Amino acid sequence: MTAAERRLASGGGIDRSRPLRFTFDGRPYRGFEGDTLASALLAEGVDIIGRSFKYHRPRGVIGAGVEDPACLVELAGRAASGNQQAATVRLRDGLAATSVNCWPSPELDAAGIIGAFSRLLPAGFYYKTFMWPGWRYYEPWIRRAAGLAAAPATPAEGRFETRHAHADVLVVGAGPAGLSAALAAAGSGARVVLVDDNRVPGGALLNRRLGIGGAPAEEWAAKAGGELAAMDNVTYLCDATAWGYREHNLVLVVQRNPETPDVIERSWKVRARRVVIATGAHERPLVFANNDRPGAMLASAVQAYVNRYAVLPGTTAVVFTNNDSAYGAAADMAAAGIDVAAIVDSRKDVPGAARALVGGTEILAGQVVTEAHGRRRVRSVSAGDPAGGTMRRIACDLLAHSGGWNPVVHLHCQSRGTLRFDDTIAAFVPKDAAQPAAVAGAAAGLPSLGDALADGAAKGAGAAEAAGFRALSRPLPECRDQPYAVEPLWLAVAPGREDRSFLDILNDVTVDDVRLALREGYRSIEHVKRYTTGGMGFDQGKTGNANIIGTVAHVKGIAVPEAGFTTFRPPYVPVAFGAVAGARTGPVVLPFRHTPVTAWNIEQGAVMYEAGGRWRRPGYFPKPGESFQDSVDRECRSVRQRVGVYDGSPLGKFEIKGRDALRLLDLVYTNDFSDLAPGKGRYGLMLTDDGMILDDGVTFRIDEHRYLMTTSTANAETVNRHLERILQVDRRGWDVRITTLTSEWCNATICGPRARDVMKALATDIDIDRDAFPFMHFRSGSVAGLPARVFRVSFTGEVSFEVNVRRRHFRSLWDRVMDAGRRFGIEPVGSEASHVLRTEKGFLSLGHEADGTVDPHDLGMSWIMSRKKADFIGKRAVEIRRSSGEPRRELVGLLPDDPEQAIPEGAPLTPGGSKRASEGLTTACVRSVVNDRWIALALLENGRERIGGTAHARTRTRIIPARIAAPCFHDPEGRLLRG
Amino acid sequence: MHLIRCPHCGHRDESEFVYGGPFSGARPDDPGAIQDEAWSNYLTVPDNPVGPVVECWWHANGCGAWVTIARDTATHDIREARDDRG
Amino acid sequence: MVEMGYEATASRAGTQAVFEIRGKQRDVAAWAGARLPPLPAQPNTETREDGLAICHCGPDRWLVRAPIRREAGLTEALDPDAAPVSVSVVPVSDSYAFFNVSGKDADAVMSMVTPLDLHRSVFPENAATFTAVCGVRGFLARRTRPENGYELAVDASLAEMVECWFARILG
Repeated sequence: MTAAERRLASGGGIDRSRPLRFTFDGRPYRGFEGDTLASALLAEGVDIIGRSFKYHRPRGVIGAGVEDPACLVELAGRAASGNQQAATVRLRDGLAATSVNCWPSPELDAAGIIGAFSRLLPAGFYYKTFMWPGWRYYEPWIRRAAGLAAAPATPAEGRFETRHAHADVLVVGAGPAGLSAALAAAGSGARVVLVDDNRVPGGALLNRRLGIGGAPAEEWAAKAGGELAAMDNVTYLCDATAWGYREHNLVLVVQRNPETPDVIERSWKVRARRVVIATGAHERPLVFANNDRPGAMLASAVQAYVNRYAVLPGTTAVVFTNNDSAYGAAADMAAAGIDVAAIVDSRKDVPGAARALVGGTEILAGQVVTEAHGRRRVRSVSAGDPAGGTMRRIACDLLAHSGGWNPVVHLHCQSRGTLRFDDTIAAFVPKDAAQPAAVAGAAAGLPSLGDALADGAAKGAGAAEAAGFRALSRPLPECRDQPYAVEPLWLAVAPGREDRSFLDILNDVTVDDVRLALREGYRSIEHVKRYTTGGMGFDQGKTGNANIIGTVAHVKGIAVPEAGFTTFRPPYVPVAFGAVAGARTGPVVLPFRHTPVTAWNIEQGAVMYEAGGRWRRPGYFPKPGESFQDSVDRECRSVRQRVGVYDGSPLGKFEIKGRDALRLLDLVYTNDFSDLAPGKGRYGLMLTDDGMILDDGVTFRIDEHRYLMTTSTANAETVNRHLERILQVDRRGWDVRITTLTSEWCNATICGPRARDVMKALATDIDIDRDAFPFMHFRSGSVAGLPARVFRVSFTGEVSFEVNVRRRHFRSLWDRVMDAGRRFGIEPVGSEASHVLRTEKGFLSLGHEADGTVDPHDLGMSWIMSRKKADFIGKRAVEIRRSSGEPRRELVGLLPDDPEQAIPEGAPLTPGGSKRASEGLTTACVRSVVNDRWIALALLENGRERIGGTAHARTRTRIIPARIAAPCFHDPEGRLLRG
Repeated sequence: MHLIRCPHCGHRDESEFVYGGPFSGARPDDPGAIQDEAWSNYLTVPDNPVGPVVECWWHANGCGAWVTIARDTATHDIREARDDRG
Repeated sequence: MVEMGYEATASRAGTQAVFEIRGKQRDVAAWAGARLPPLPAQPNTETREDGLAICHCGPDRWLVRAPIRREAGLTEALDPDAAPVSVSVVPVSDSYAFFNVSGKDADAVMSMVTPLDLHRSVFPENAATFTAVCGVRGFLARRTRPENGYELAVDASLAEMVECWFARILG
């Protein structure tokens, strides 16, 4: 049969005036607008589209939509992506697709190894075959030989999007039930979102030849879809799949080919008050030997390719069924010109209504197809009475089989709805909903068209009413349907052929594998699933699961519902990572924060860091020819010898006001704030109630009931949450209110011996004399003509003025500071130098010295634990922990014996440097400019009493001995900072 | 992604909230009066049932309210949202 | 190759005079009631009068907004330093970066930055609220003049990030 003969001259939903060119595995082909990649390949006579996962068996098109378990392709070019299902890829001009599991190509497989290879890959092969000497030796090879698609080497051109949507009623599926539901709900005025994975409405109606309202059903669907799309209160998302059903009626949708030109895929997060699930049903395959051979297809898929895509997937067909629906398919195949050689029906009694559809076609009632023959494609089948007797060979190049229909219950089950087994249709159907949702139509187990229309209308109206709208009743259209009855048939395999009778075609799981799993003691269906990997592929077992369950029941000799079913998990279809991320990639993958001088820092060539609290901060300011260490040393020297300026804007700042403000401070800080006078500030330490350090900072008293709290940059939000929780949950009667000022005020910290000179040069009306404005005080006034609050605190150990101005004034303040400071040799200081300066002083840095195991006593800060206060947060926990008398890790300084030897920050300290449990760790190590050597801070077991002794840092490559010292290497009396 | 009812704002998306852990009553006024073991248990041995839990969420990206809800850990049903405005 | 996807603009707007007021409604009304539009009774709504807007943005929490030229006058009228102990009045004009989003596709653009339902039936003309915007806390109000759209504000330090978001969305 030539390619031209495979495509019908008329009919179908394709547009013959719009031919498209595409390539598959490098070869050029042609198709039409309206084709999928699968329909176009079938029309072009491509039988083998891929090779199977484990055994590299040839595989062709089996299904006509998301249920197809075989044809996985990779797309190149603009929308490059892997693991796409050929039956759902919309054909475009210039599409370039390659098969996934082919080595070296789908046509020419490395056939010689297949036999040997398959013996290595029974159920549980992951756990057995590749255990010695280790999975890592096998993994790369297995991935290449049997893996899925590779990630594209370059980013996709274009972008992904995520939108939020809100609906009174979300309808999933635009088949007869879904359209009917959407019409009923939309008529009430409710906001309706309708999601459908086809480009045109109709669902299964597009594949069959039914009638509604006296016209072909697909015309009714097109009209209904058009009517809905035109309504203001309806959002109709076509070419979109609902792939996840989360808590509180949040449904995740991925929309392909949205109308916006450069958007590749769009995700929707639809929050709905009510959901109507009208996802239809999937046909299940029958299980016989070589049921995966190209040419063996689902009957409904053959019907879809014939009717919708005007493609004849074969010349001579055998239809194998246990139900009526395949008769409609057979009739459509015959009408399109396929020679239907015989219908093999496992039922002894074939209903007359079914027989009537196929006229004089030979029907082999009470018989089964046990095996398909043909190496690269079906050439004939063996059929006969399963109870015995002779087998008959029937020549054919197409085997259309149907094992009945499974309601698509994935979303219902993801929403935690329950299932029951319906004997009438031999399938699991929805039982109870767990969220405000209803299942309608075929998805609810109603196979007839009339029922689907009526059920959809009722569920749609019910959903709208439940959402508070008044639904108007709408007359239901008359319809022309086909009958449906089924008798379950789980296995039609001849003995000895079960190793090539596939249950899960995607993951190459055979009847043999399931028998093996049961034999080895895996009784629960969930264990059988994991052991065989059946149902664990990207298709989530759409075609395979029911047959696995049926086989388990058959082998164990129990009823199908007793075998149970496995958990349905998202995603329902493969979803690109890009679609999940949406716009939130690249620079905005996480929030980032700037101060008004961030741009200036970048202009100055600063190396920017991502710091705590999401701030982008300068790490250091390299000058031409400088090394990292040169830059940091220079910045440190400017502060120790002259003057430096640091952008302290990210510091957390909060105004705290109310009658109980002091009570709050005394509860959250370990030390006493009751005697703090207005105009003064005090350093405080906050613990959590488990006694660990939460934050430290300086709080100033503005007036009697008003305070200004500063926090560390990284913990501003955490402290805010902590304080608000106390006030809103634990101490609800207290009169305290907190206002965040972190971004309102920006601060330039001018520090160093010449800091006061810079302040004078800036011109300020504040008396900055050390006696008039002592350490730990604040003043309001004018600095450089700008309204300012100036704090005298110090994180460097030098004289410091923290000049706070409103954000709008900060850039201008900064420029003036740099101008005024120039003649004093001012340098901007980054966080690296700041780290050195604080380490020299032994000042606490959260995240370095306080790591969630450390209490204030460990840090030598027993003085800050008030004995006067009956309670503060963390007090009890510290007392209880201390009462055990167990040794603690205490903060000490370390001076490496070799002054030029650095200790990596985080390096463990072990007894004598031996390979024993650590007795501490290095929390900071910097090159000290004042000591001209490397210095470190460490937490060391019983460290304080070991001062003068030696500790050993143990790294992968060396052991570094260091003298244990007090944790302060510069001006231990603190004279300089008070100057 | 939960939908959490805030007493001030009504139902809002979980992305507006920060989880604040289980709620086992307001912090006692005088921890010093509580036995060591009882206090340690209060801090470190929260219930973790399958079923209803009472827990706090902070409406950090919204109105700033701390919200107490009763949530079923098995189903995510939020059975009760307490009005904490007092 | 990249075409403009949306008929919408998202532009940085100028600084506004903003005051955060916290306190019980009766205390706030007693201190500032005469100088402000009526305090909104409904949560997350704003009363607007004479260019001045006040939003009931949280429990005991109010946000006053006005054109920046009125900042000095408002500071004098609301007198933060003299407010009684039961009321916090804090000038926070510099804490927020404002953006205007408008155009035919403004709703589509907003649906990409916030999970909030902005349908007119639930977010009417006087609606104003804090919500998640671009993954961070943001203030959002419907805007009717000079054209339909939205006004949104985020912490000033996040302005560049939000600009980056809009640039990515609008192409």
